[in-house]
Amino acid sequence: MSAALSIGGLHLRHPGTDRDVVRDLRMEVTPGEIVCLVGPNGSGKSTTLAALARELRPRRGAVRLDGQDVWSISRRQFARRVARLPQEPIAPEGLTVEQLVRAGRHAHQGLWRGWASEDASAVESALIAMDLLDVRKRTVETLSGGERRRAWLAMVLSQETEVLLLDEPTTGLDIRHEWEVLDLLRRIREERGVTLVLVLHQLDRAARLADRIAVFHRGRLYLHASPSECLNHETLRDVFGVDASLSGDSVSPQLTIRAPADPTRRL
Amino acid sequence: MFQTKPRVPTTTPLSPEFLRWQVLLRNHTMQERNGAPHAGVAPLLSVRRAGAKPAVSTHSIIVGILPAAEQLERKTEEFRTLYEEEIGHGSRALYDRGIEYLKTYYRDASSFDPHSITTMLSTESPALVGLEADPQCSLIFYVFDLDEKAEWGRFRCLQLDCTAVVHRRGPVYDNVWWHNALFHGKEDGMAVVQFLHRRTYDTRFGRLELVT
Repeated sequence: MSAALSIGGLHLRHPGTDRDVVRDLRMEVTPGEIVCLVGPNGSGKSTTLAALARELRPRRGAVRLDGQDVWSISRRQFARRVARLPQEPIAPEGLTVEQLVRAGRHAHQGLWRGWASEDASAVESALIAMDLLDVRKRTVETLSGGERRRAWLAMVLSQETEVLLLDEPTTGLDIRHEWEVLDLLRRIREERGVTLVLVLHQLDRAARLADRIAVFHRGRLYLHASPSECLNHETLRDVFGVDASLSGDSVSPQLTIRAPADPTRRL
Repeated sequence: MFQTKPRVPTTTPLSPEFLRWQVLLRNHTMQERNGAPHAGVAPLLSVRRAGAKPAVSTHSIIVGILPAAEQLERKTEEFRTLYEEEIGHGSRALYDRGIEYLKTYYRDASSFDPHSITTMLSTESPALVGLEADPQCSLIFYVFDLDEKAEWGRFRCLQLDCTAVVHRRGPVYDNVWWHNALFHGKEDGMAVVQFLHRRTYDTRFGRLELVT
């Protein structure tokens, strides 16, 4: 249950605008790989994720899932294989947590296939994984920000796809839940071989979780390599504008920021 | 019926010392400055503005030099190949690879076009609009650094009178565009300006001496 993503010469522009926010992006994500997209605000990470989820049609270039252009795959078929958690999803008013998570199974339903035991099992597993059993009957709008985030994550997990695209999945979570979510993501990759592409702002978390990091800078891919190759002093200075360094090992990396930097080189 | 060929602007070669200086500067930039441009490759472009006041506008630009005509397309292909090979690893990796490649590229002045220098401008920039209206222009090079003892930093005040030719496609456009792509990625909405050299003046301390 693994899928590869191939991004070729992608130029992305939001509808109604005349400027590309992502330019000539080329990147390969191998099956079962965890890739974290990092970069300053507005550098094109979320827009890229939207294009991977075929929610934004590229102005130029293509996204391929196992070699097939994502726009040539039916919506339902795509939803069975790829799930995306946007930055700020909005649930209809009055929807309970359980109903939201059940919605993740929608793509698996069909004319001849109703609600089945594997659907119930997937929903139950997702609720347990996200520690939501106690609040399953509550409506989504009554939850705290962190609980709401976990409810949406549970919905995405219940979709049981080969690819997960997550935009800042840990934003708003307390430390314990943040670590649990990151551990869970690593676990589902190991157990199910899921391919994961995430936007993360915390560089130390990205270094801990990712096989490779894609650093975005001004709408371009600045560097796509292992965490240790990516998160060096020069990248932190040029892309993030801080005088900082990443130390420690891959299990417990530590980011030390000393001061804002005055970059000497701007790409 | 008579058919008239498009008029090719007249040009004279750049002074050998100037071209050598430009090659030396670029070599130094790649070897020692990790690609950061030196003031010697960043002249002011002076463009006429017919009927406007002031009658001249001045723009800060970065200029490049072209490979000699017989090498132009081969070098373009090398830039393009380098780009295609490296862009999947990100623009930083491409930049670093580009620097490595260019460390040995800028060596011998005889490998470069002795008649022109180039720049890239946005198709909507006032400088380009001005050059299309009147291609006669000047490039003002000014380098003055009392602490710099090396050849490239020596005091220079030069005015190069040129005729601008705007390229939106073709071999010159491709060469400059792919060279630029190594450092700044693919750029839409740009035109390449080729400044065909007519004459150079040394303008130190109020002079206006023709340089041959």
